[in-house]
Amino acid sequence: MNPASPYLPLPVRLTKARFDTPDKSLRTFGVAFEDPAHAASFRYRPGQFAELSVAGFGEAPIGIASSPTEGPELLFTVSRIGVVTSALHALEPGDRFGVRGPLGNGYPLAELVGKDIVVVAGGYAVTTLRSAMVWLLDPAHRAHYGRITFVYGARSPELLLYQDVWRQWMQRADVDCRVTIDNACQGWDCLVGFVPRVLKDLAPSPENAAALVCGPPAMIRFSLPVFEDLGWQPEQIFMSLENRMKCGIGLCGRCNVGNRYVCKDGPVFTKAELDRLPPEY
Amino acid sequence: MNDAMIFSRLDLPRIIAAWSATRAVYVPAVSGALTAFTLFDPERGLSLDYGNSTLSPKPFFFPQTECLLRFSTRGEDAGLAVAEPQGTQKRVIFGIRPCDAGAFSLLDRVFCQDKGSTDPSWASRRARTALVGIGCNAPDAACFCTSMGGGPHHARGLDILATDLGDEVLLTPITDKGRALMAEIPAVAAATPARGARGGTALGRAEMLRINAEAVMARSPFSGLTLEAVARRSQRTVHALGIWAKIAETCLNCGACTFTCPTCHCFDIQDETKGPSGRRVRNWDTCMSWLFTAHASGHTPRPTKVERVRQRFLHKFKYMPMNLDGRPGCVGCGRCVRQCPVNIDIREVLRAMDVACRAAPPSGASRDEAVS
Repeated sequence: MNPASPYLPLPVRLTKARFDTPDKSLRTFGVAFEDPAHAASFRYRPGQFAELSVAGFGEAPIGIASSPTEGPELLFTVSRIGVVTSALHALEPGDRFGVRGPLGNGYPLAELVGKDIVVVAGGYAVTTLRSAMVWLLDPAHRAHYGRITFVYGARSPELLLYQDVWRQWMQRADVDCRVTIDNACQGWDCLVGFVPRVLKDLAPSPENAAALVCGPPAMIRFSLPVFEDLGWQPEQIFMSLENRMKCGIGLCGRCNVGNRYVCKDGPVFTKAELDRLPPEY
Repeated sequence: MNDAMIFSRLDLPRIIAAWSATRAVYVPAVSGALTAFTLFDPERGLSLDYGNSTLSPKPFFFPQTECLLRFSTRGEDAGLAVAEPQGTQKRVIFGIRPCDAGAFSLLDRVFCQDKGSTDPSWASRRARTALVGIGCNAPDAACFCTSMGGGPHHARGLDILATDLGDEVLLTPITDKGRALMAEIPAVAAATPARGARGGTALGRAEMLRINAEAVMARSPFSGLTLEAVARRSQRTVHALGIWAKIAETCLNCGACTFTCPTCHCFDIQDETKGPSGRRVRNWDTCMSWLFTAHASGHTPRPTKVERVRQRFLHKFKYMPMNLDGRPGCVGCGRCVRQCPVNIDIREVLRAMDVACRAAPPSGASRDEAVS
């Protein structure tokens, strides 16, 4: 956060950008702070987000896809859907824009030490879960956790993000990495079927475990009963919400779910917390 | 001057003129059906004959539109944002009503939550502004501050409480800022300490005025409204009450209520550019608008006016009390009651919430505590 004003973005440069999908709707950005002091002060946790700011267009809240273990550069994957995200897609490497954050609570990974971790991701909601996975699998952290399972699905192979990293995870013995697409297609060498189905076959034990879940509403709707049938408690399931935001610091009043602000109290809530809030998200 | 002092009413313009030497002093001015705070003008004098300002005085701390930062769109510095400097002008708002002062003390807890969530312009404006309030001797029919933890002569949020005794005015300092302001009052003003026989009489008159004003409010058909039953039910229970569709039925989602409300503080942030320069501005927003929560994808968590109307009342009567030690997010100023074009009366809404909460099955009650 900028000490001068919480509304003031820190200047950054686009270091690299690639379109992730053939329809060019998703683009992944490498981002470097112009001022090394800003880079040092930007201390974030997996699951947090930032407001990406393009002068003249505005800001959009985007989950941080990189892990702090990866160095000072940040990674964001942005879906082109509105004014700001279109402006972000139009940036070229070397261009300046702004980052305001880190914002939100993030996944409580420090509190989950000693547990088995099941990560469930769908579509491009995988972004902050990529961050969590990279952090968990970092040599400094891996030994502090039990079994780590990564379930990730998308409609088709070209919609799966971060193939470079999860292909590496598949080679590792200390992570169970299951990647799936909705329908079989030529050349596909991993699983076929919806995420809830894969999860059901996997049948992760709730014993001393926690699940981090982020994905489209349909995936969430059908995955939660699978956890429930396996005996998981609502306190063990961590979900990340998104809502329209402006300030990102709990002042502007629009992203609330009941008395909680997604920007400040969230975006990560346990299912137990969400069960006590009005179903308005 | 640490003590309450009595002044002749005729001294007030002189007192305000003294404060004006180093500060901008705003006073109520009545113009036809409208009352607004304007910069004190010795030529125009001072009128204490007003109910309350038509619109809330919240723009003194939270302007309807405000520049947050500036940037250029071309050249080497393109996209480099610079925070808009805070003003330095010291100010006094004279004649603010206790309900509005209470609203600002409530909003202090919204705009200055902690280190990461402090709005610099709110904090700056609050720090350099003193509030001299006047107790209400004749509350309006739409007023209900006594049901919201306030009162017509309450001092919460004020630096000085003034009591209009007719020919005289009693000034009671509340805070250090208020005491400093009292100390600046020129000796020419014929002040009498509110002690001794004559002072005691004045204090007695002030007390009578307060009791009288509260008695007037107690006679209102809406007196005795309470949030107790709402507080006892979980937010999920209050959210699911069957009353909301009927309450929202006549609402136009015009936003007059949020516009005039002293505690409504939701805002939008937008960029504006003109040629090579641009700025990021913060504007008042309203939860009555569909756009308020609409995602870029088109999805919105509050798609119809029923959800939006419910949000406004739950924010004030359930969510804010949960987050702010039981303080309601409403001060009972009555402006939304006066301004609503379809006569939605927040007091009737509160009563409906209370009745429905009393009737609601106890299941789910008191589970809120576990949330935070």
